[in-house]
Amino acid sequence: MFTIIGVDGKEYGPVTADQIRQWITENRLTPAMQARREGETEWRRIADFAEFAPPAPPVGADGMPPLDPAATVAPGAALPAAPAEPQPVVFTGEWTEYFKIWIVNVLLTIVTLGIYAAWAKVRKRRYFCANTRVLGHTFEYLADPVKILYGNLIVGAIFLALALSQMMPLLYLCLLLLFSIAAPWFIVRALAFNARNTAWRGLRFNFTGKYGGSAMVFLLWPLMVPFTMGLLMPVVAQKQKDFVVKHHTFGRTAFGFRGTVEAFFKVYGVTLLFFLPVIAAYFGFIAFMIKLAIETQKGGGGARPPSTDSLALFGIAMLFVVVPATFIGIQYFRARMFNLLWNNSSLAGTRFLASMRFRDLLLVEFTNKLVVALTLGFLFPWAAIRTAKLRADSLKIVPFGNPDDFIAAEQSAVGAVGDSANDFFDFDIGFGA
Amino acid sequence: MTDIPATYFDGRTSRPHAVTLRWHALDGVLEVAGEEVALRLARRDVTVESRLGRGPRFIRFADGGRCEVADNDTLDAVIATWAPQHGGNWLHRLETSWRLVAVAVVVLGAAMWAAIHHGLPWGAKKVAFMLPAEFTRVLGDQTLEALDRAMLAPTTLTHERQIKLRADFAAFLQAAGDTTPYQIEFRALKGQGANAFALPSGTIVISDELVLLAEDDREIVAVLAHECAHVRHRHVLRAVLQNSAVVVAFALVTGDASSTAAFGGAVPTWLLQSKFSREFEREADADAVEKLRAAGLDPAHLATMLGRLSSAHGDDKLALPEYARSHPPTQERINAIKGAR
Repeated sequence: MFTIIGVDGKEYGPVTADQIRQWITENRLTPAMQARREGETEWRRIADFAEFAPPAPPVGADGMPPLDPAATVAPGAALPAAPAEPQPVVFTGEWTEYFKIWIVNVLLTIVTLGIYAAWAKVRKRRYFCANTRVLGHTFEYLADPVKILYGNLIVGAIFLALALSQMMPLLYLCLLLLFSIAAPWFIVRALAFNARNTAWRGLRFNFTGKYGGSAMVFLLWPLMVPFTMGLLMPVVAQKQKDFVVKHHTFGRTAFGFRGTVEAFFKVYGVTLLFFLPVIAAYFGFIAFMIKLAIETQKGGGGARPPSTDSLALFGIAMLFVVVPATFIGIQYFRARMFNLLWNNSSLAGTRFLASMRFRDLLLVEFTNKLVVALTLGFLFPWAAIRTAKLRADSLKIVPFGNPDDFIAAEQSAVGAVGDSANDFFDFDIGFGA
Repeated sequence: MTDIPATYFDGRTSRPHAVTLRWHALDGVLEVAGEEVALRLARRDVTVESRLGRGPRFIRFADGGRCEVADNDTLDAVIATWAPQHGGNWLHRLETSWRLVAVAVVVLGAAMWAAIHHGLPWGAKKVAFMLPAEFTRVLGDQTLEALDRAMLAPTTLTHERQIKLRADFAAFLQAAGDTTPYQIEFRALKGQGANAFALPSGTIVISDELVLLAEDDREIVAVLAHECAHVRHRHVLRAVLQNSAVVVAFALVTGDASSTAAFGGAVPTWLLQSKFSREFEREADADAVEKLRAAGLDPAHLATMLGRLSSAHGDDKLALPEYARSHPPTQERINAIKGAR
């Protein structure tokens, strides 16, 4: 026997499994809706119970079920004509158009001494949302600039305190400790602010994560990483993404995540190979410093001490190894994480197909950084549009069931301070890597 | 009355409805009509999103429903008569004018130049001199403590030698009329060679190697005069303030904090910071010349010492271009000192 939550948000039941199957065929329930088995306390998606799982489809070579949703629909079910093919994510932004919006943003931000930055952020995000189309509909960005302004002011004060206290190590350490304890809170607030202010087809997204869970994956687990020589890093990353994705909802429907620790180990392992030259360079630098120290000890007063500029030259030489290797490694990591994240995320049966290629991202990001640096930042909008286009082109959506059937959830408003903090301190929390 | 096609969402489900919007100007009613939708909304329950690029716009209703409208021009024309209080699309007009963009590029370029050359140094100077003395004292003490642990060793100079140098320095200060409470610290610099540097607290650290390198004690006083200038002008504080301002400004303009630290921003930031540092060195040289002259000492001693330091370090053998150096080329500094009459 089960208790279910109906379209109207009320509890129904207890009812039998057969009754639920009947309701599903009558389209009164969708597999995305919540149910609880009698005697248990946990609410789960109906589709997550073995009784109502779609008949096990043959597993494809890649370990994923085949894409044809028709195979998972019960015969005779009154399911709508949902598109069976993977649907593209269409990005329609144009850089000349965005350039004009961006430059007005920058100009007004300067003229208003930074106050307009909040409005600028809303216009920027609105532009990218309005130009991203999924299943024929664009996204809405609904944030209130005044809230972002408050967030910016608070975070600006925190940043100033941290920057100034850097000169007083003890105070700085105390502030840093306080800030670290607060960081998981900033993270959940940032995720919630962005999710709740993004909507598609009139329904808002939401993020339901709480401080406790956030502190576990963003504070306590990372603290253990150094003791394992970094070996724990993929495990922690998996826990973080699991936390972030599973607490996102669209309307009342929660996202699912099934990325395994093994998959994370694979991405981190290959990324490590790219960083080998960087590690070698650091060991080289340490060896260089030790040699220096020994020579000055031995040589006494007679030895010619190395000049600061020769040290600088050594540093520049290292830049030619460290910077390119780091840059290439980061792009590999970003492309693979993008695919890992989206390919393992789902929304009540709706799945995502991500196929970002490392070399495409490397080419786009390299030319982006080069052109932005050469134009003193003026072609930043061009770079932003290219990155967004690549991400959209790399993603497809495989709908399951009727995309018209998602239902709204009750929501409360949330302040923007976490979002501002995220912009400023750049926590690595993005849904889409 | 104009009809505009739109897509209606009730805000409770993700189902789209094709509708027609009818705007009744006289009674201020918006009629939303479709196959399963029939709504009449009062003007005060309707909010129209501002226009942005070519993208569709949302018209939101007080009950959580909304309409997505693609035809921006028609919508603007209707709104102008139906709800004039919504205001014009002045922001959109700014954002679509190439002429304005051209002006903005020029203004921004000029503003960037002015901020880097004048605004930032001016602001950092103001703030640096506003910070209380207690702050600079703590800052200097803690820095020296950290340096002592990392790269400084106790001096090997004899007690008599130290007393002689301190006395020379005190005589110079008195003659130059400088009453700032400086404090001289002698240290051996592990592997760094001849050097001297000033901390914000007024502490000046001078390395044994520098004392040995000098052939005349007046040369040491000349170097100290240069470091005194760094202290009085609060160069260390100003450098910290300017450098962090550059990082923040870069992040603000590009809207991207991570790349500042990583790739695109690191080089320009570093070049700017070197430029600020060179300007401080020039300012300290000029100030030292003035004070030395006031104390009746020949500023040429500073030039001599710079020459000695340069050949001891072998600096100018490296063809590092000027924009990448933290100090101006030694020859240029020597010429400037000798040329200051």
